[in-house]
This record gives sequence, structure tokens and C-alpha cells, in this order.
Amino acid sequence: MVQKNTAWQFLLLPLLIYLLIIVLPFLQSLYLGLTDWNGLSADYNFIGLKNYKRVFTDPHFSMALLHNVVWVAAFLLVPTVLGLILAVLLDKGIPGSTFFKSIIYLPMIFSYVIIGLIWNFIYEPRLGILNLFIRLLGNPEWNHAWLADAKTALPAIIAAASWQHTGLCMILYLAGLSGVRQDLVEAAQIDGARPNQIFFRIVLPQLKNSTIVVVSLTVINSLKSFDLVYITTKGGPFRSSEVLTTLMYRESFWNYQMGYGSAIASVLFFLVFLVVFFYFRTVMGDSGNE
Amino acid sequence: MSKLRKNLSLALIVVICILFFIPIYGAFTTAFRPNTEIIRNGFWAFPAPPVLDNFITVWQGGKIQMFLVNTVVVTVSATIISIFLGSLTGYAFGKIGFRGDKWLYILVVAGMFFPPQIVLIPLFKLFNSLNLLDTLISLILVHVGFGLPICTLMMTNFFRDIPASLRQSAMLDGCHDWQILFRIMFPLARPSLTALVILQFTWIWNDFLWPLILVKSEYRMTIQMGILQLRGQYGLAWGNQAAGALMATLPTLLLFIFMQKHFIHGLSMGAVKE
Repeated sequence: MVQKNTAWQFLLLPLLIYLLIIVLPFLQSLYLGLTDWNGLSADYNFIGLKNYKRVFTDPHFSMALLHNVVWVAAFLLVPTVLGLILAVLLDKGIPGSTFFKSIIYLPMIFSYVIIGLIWNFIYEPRLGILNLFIRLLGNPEWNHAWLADAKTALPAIIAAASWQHTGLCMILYLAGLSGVRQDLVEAAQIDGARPNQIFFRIVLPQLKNSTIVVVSLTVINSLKSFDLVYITTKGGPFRSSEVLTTLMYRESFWNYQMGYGSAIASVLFFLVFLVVFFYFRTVMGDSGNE
Repeated sequence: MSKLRKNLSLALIVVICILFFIPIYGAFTTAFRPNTEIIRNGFWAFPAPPVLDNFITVWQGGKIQMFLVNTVVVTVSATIISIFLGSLTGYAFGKIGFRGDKWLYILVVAGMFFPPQIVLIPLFKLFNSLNLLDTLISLILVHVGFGLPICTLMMTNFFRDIPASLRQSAMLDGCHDWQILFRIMFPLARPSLTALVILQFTWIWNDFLWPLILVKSEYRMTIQMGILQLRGQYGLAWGNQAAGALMATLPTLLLFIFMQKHFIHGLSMGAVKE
């Protein structure tokens, strides 16, 4: 049966929009990174790799990159591990597990504007519960203006972000756990393996793919995070919570250095691309596991 | 031993859940307390009888309605359009197929992870030259573009699982692909479509970055920018801030409460499956 392939009829409009909103702007951004455009003037010059040279000598850039690295590390430690622990605990029929899951999921539906606002009830220097609690413990000298203090701003933001990110990690691990082979677990139980042994030797190895997915998404989300930082501190005080995205925004939209801003965005893209590459290799590579 | 273990697990979960809930509790109860009482007793005092004053104040401020209407317009149209277009690509990738479809598919789906920052400047430039800055259309277009990857992914997965014989027999009956998609496939796709509606609605409703870049005038702002604006306006009026935040979250909160299963299903499908 010879048929005309009609796929293009279905692809034409969506791909046109994709091209217009994602692909062409992306290519243009790579190009703008090689220019000195200020965002306002009609003409600009091609300046080769000058912006990139500046990127790698700019102390603000290395500082922002370092903050991103800290963010990634914290994200891999706290929400990822917490998500795994919660998934394991809630996977077994504990009474009320649906209710407990909902509480952990709930922060996922809040926007970062709302999260910034909600966490103000924790961090607010005079009325916030954190300082209240510290005063209750009898150590008022430990009180901080958490988001306004250069020493604590970044950790405070990351804590709020972790609170939101845990739910996603838990969902992904719960999905992974549902694929763990129960016959192996039962066989080990019959052989007298302790719960710890079963978890580390039998369950965890089978969660390898889930872990790769969780880790990739966690790293990507950490690199992309912008809203919460912008809303709570705008990268301050004194750039103490500046990350690549806020630096890019600052250079582009406040300092009108859109060429330089594009170069920073390109570096960010490259970092994300590396992670996405590994992610796809895993998810698409051995699809027999899913 | 096992009993003790179970009780310990339960205790651990309860503690974590309480810690997780504390920030929400603080904001939620504050929304229902008069500002004078908050200043006097703090956020965390034993809750007084709830009042609706804060909601009334914010509502009578007259701006939140405008923000909400803008957000509804953007969110509903972008959600519908992106899912519709994603169904078209999904059908082409998942059911029709063509040479090189795998690579095109990866190119589209990889957009899910695309950092929006890389197109911030070019899109600002594009909409500026099209005279579309400060319009809701620009926001809708951006959300359709950025929504296409996840919609394509979920719909392709759905169409792949539909047996090829269904399409073939419909074709023998004289249907062409568009009829098959609209008459036969869409009714079957209810679960995938529902999950997508919830995900897309939540993400677009919550978006802050694009209005920040593309919108300048107050009367074009979406709710997330609006809330930030109200926060500035109400300064230390914590009750009003919290009430505004609760109003801004209500649609996604209701979706979550009533459709949680679909939301979770969508998130795990979107990330894990090929």
C-alpha cells in the first residue's frame, strides 16, 4: 500500500513556532555573544571571542559560577537524598502515606514569587520563626537578617529552593521503586539479609536509572534557577547570592551589555547541554529498563 | 524489631512533614489575621479567630482582578495551544513516522531542558521589532514555544502505545490522518491530555521570568509580577501580602487538591519515560 506521508502537515505549524521561539533565537544568541551590542543601538560590531575572554577573567563570573557549584552540591545533598529517603519510607504501606506525600508535593505547585513570600515568614528578622526559635533557645546573638546578610543569603535561598525541589525527587524515586523487582527482595529476605543490606545491595542498584534522572534534573534545575534569587535578593547583598542567571540578567538588562550577557548565557547553555547529553544517553540508551 | 522499625519510620515522616508544612502554615494563617494583631503577637502566635479583612483590602485595591484576568488569558490560551500543537507533533512522531524522525524528535524534546536565559535577549529583540513587547500575545507565544517539548514528549509516548492496527483499519474505512486524530485518537488520549493540562497550567500560571522581560505596563502584568508589586505596596502589611499570595495560588492549589494523581503521573511520565 503506497501512501503519501502526511507527517509534514502535522509538523509544519508546531515546528514553525518552535523555530521562531527556540531555535532561531538560540542561534542568534550565540551570534550576539560575539558582538558588542548594547541592547539599544541599531548597529553593533563583531568582536570575535572578546566577550568570552572577559567571561573567563571576570571575577563576578567566577563568583557566580562558584555559587552555582555550591547550589548544585547542596541540591545533590539535601533534596535528592531526602527525596530518596522519603520515597523509601512512603513506598511501604505506612498509614496515611497519601496524606504525607501530598504535604511533600505541595511546595511544587507554588510559584517562586509565592515561595519567596512564604519563606519570608521564616527569615524575617524580627517576626520570622527562625529567629524566634533561636531566641527561644536562648541565643539571641545568633539572630540574623537571613536574606540581607551576605554570609547567609545564599544558603537561605538554597534552603527554600530545596524545600520545593524535594517533592520532584521523591516522585521520581517512587516511580523507580515501583519498578524494583520484589522477587529479588523477597529472596534476600528469605536468605536472612538485613534491611540495610537489602536496601544498599538490592534496591539501590536497581534505582540507578532513577538516580541518573534525578541527578540530571537536579543539576539542570540548579543551573537554571533564577526566579527565587531575583525575587528574594536580586543576587545581593554585595553579589553574595549572585548566580549565572542573575549575572546574565544584570549585565543584559541593567548594564545594557547584551553582547556580554549573551556570552554568559551561552556558557550556561553549554553547561546544561553537557548534563542533558548524559541524561538522554541514559534515558534513551537502554529503554529496556523502563 | 520490625514493629519498632515501622514506628521509627512513621515518626521520622511525621517530623519531616511538620517541618515541611511550617512555612505554609505561617503564610496561610497570617492571611486570616488582622495586621494589628500580627504586629502585636507575631506570625506564629496562637491563631486568633480568622477574619477576611486582608482579602477584602486586597480585592478592593482593585488591581488583583486585572492581574488575574491577564494571567487567565495567557495561561488558558497557551495551555490549549501548546497541547494542541504537541498532539500534532506527537501524532506525526508517534503514529505516522518518517525518515529521520528520531533526530527531529530529540531536537524538539531536548527543549524541555533548555535554559530560557539563552533566548531572553533575542526574544526581547524579536518582540520589540514586531511591536509585541508589553502584550499578552508575546507571553502566549513564548509559553507555546517552551511548552511544545513536554507536550510533544507526552503525546508521542501516548501515540506510540496505541496499536498501529487502529490507524490502519480507520484508513481502510476511508479516514485520513486528521480525521483519525480528531475522531479516534483525542477521545482515547484523555488521561495524557488531563496530565498535560495540569502541568502546563501550573507552570504557565506560575511563570515570572517572561512577564519580567516582556511586560512593562501594570495593566498587562500577570499575577506573579502583580504579587511582587503588591508586596512592595503593602510593605509591612503582612496579612495583606499573605492574602494576595493565597488568592494568586488558589487556582493551582485547587487543581492540585482535586487532580493530584494526574499531576504526579504527568511529572513522573514526563521525566522518566523516553
